[in-house]
Amino acid sequence: MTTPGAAEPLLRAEGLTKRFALQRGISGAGGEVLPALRGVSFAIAPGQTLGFVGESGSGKTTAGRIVARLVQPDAGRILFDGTDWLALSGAALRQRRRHLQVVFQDPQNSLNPRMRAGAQIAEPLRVQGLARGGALAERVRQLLSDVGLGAETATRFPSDLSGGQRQRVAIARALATSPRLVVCDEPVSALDVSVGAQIVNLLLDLRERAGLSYLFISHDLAVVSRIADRIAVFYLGAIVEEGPAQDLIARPLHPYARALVAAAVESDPSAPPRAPVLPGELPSAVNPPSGCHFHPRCPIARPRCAQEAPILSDSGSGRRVACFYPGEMG
Amino acid sequence: MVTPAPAPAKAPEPLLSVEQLRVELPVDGVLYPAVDGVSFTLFAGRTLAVVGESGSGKTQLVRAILGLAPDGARVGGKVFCAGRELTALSDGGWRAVRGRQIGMVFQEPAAALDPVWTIGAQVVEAIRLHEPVSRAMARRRAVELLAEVAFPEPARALGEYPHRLSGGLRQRACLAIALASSPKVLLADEPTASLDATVALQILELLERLRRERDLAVLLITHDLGIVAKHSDDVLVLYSGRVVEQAATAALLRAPAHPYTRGLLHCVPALARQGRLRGERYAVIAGSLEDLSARPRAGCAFAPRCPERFAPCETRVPELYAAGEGLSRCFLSLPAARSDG
Repeated sequence: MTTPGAAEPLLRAEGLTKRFALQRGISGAGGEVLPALRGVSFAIAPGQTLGFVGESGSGKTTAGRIVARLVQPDAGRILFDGTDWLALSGAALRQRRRHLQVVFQDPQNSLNPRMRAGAQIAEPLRVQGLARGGALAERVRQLLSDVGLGAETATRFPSDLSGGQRQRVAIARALATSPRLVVCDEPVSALDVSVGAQIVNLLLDLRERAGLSYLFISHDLAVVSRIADRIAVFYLGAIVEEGPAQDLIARPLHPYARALVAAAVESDPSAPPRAPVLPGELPSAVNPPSGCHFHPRCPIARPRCAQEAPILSDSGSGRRVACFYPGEMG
Repeated sequence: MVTPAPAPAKAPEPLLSVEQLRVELPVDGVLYPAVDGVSFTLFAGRTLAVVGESGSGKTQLVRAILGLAPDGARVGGKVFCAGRELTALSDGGWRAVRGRQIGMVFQEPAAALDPVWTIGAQVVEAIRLHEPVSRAMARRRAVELLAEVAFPEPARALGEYPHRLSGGLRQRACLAIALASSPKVLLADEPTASLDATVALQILELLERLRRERDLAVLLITHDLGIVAKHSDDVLVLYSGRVVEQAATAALLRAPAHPYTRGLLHCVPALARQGRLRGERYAVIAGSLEDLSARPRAGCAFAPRCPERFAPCETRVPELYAAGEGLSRCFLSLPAARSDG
C-alpha cells in the first residue's frame, strides 16, 4: 500500500481496535468490556521517532504492544517493512521479529534474573542464528560498549546492576539483532531523573548512529518532546491529535493536548506557575461520555460536543486533530 | 535549627523540629546510615520540600519522623512536635501524635485506604478516633471534610468504596482522613507521583489551598523539581542520607550552590518548546548512587559522581557552609576552596 507523494513509511497502522473483557469481580460486578483502542491509525517514517503521550488508560501502551505483537488487536492492520505484520505467525514472525524489538519500562521485570547480562544480550542473536562462538562474544562486547557498559558487565546478573545499568542491558539486547524499529514503552519512567536523562541521551545517540526508528511511549510529554519527530496524543482509546512534535508543542490544537503541554510546562522549574487547566479525570472507558469523550472536561465544549464524536482529520501542515473547534482557547 | 527562615511580617511558628536525625539500616548484619544527621524545622503556613532521588534517604526520614523506622534500624537524634520530644515517646504515645498532630498522605492512595470500608466509614473512624463525637455528628463532619477537599457530591461519596474512585479522588479521600483530627503538620510523601499529569496539578493546588486556609506546616517529599519550584517555600536537597543543600526555594532555583543540585536541575526533562532542546542531549550527572553498603564512608558521598571534585572531597566530609542565601555541603562554598583545588 502506498501513499502518493510521500515516502513509504517504515510502519503504517490502520484502524487498530482492541477490547478487553473485564473479569467479573467478587462483588458480582464486571463482565464488562473495556474498549482500550477505538480505531487508531499512525505511521512511522524510516529513521524517525513517533512519540505516544497520554495518561494511564489512554490506550498508548496497548497500541505499542500491538505493534510489538504482544497483543493481538480485534481489528486493524499494520504494514511493517513491506509485510502484513499482523498476519505473520510462527517461524515467519520469529524470523521477522529481529527487525522490531522492544524496551520495557522496568528492566527488573524484563530481564531474566537468573541469567548473566551477556547471555541475555546474546540470546536473540543465538535464537535468530545471527552469530555464534567467538563472533557472538565479540558482538556482545560491542553491544555493551554501544550502550556505555564495560565488557565485565557480561558476567553480571541483573541483581548486581543498578536500574540504569539494567536498562542499558535491556537496550543492548533490543539492539542485538540490528532492528529497524524499537518500541520503547516508558523506558525511563522507573528510573531516577539523573539516570533517566542518561538513558534518553543514549537513545538519542543510538538513533543517530544506527538510523533507528523509535515508537517512544511515555506519560511525560517533556521527555517525548526531546526525542520525538512526531507526537500522537491519546485520550480514552483514541488519538485526539497527531503532528510534527515542534508544531504540536508550540501550538496544540486539541484542548486536551493543550492541557498536557501546560502540565509539562508546569513541571519545568524555570517556568512560571499557573493554575490547573483541566477539571476532572479520565472517565471510565467502559461507559465513556457521549459525543466527544473529552467534552465533560473540556474548557471549550459546546452543545454539539456532547452529541457528536469528532473524527481525527487532517488540519493542514501534516497535522491531524479530533476536535470541532481546533485551536480555540477556553 | 539551621533552617534559614526568610522573615515574613509575623515570625512563623515552629511546629515540628528534627535535630540531627540518624537512621541506620542493617545490611547483612552491618548498620549503614540511610539518614545521616538531618536537621530542619517546619513552620506554620509554610511548605518545606525535601527533594532527593532513590537512595537519598527521604523515605526513611519520613518513617523515622513518624516513629515507623523498620525493624532492626537504629534511630538517633531528636524529633520535637508541639513542644514534645517524640523520640522519647513509647509506641503508644507516638501513635497518639501520629495522625492527631501530624497528618499524612502517601504516594499510593489505593494502598493507604482500606478496600473493604466505604470512604465515609474511614473518614468517620478517623474523626472519632481523635474526638468522642456521635456517629451522626461525625458523619456531618465527614461530609464537610470531603467538601473541603473538593470531593464532587461529598454526601454521596460517603457510600463509595475506594476501588470505585479514580486515583485523584482517592488522594482527596486520604487528605480528608489526614485532616480529620485537625493536625497542624502535614507530611505529604510523593502525593502525586502515582497520578496523571493533569490530575497531579489539581491535587497540588488543593494542598496549597489547605496549607493556606488551615495554616498548616507541610513537609513535601518529592523527586520532582518542578513540584518543588511551584509548591514549596523552602527546600532541602538530600543525597545519600545527608542534606547537601538547603535554601529558600526561589534562591535555590536561581543560584543552586551544590554541584549535585546543579546537575539535577540540568536533568529535569524540560519541554522542548519551539524546537529548542529537541534532540539535544541532557547535561547528565555521571553514574548513579551506589547501594547503601557500597557508598564511600570517608569524604563527600557525591564525590564519585561530581565533576568538580578535588583532593579533600574524597577524604573529608564537608559541613553545611553558608552559600548565597542558603547552605551547601560542598568545599567549593568555602571562600578559599578554589585556590586549594
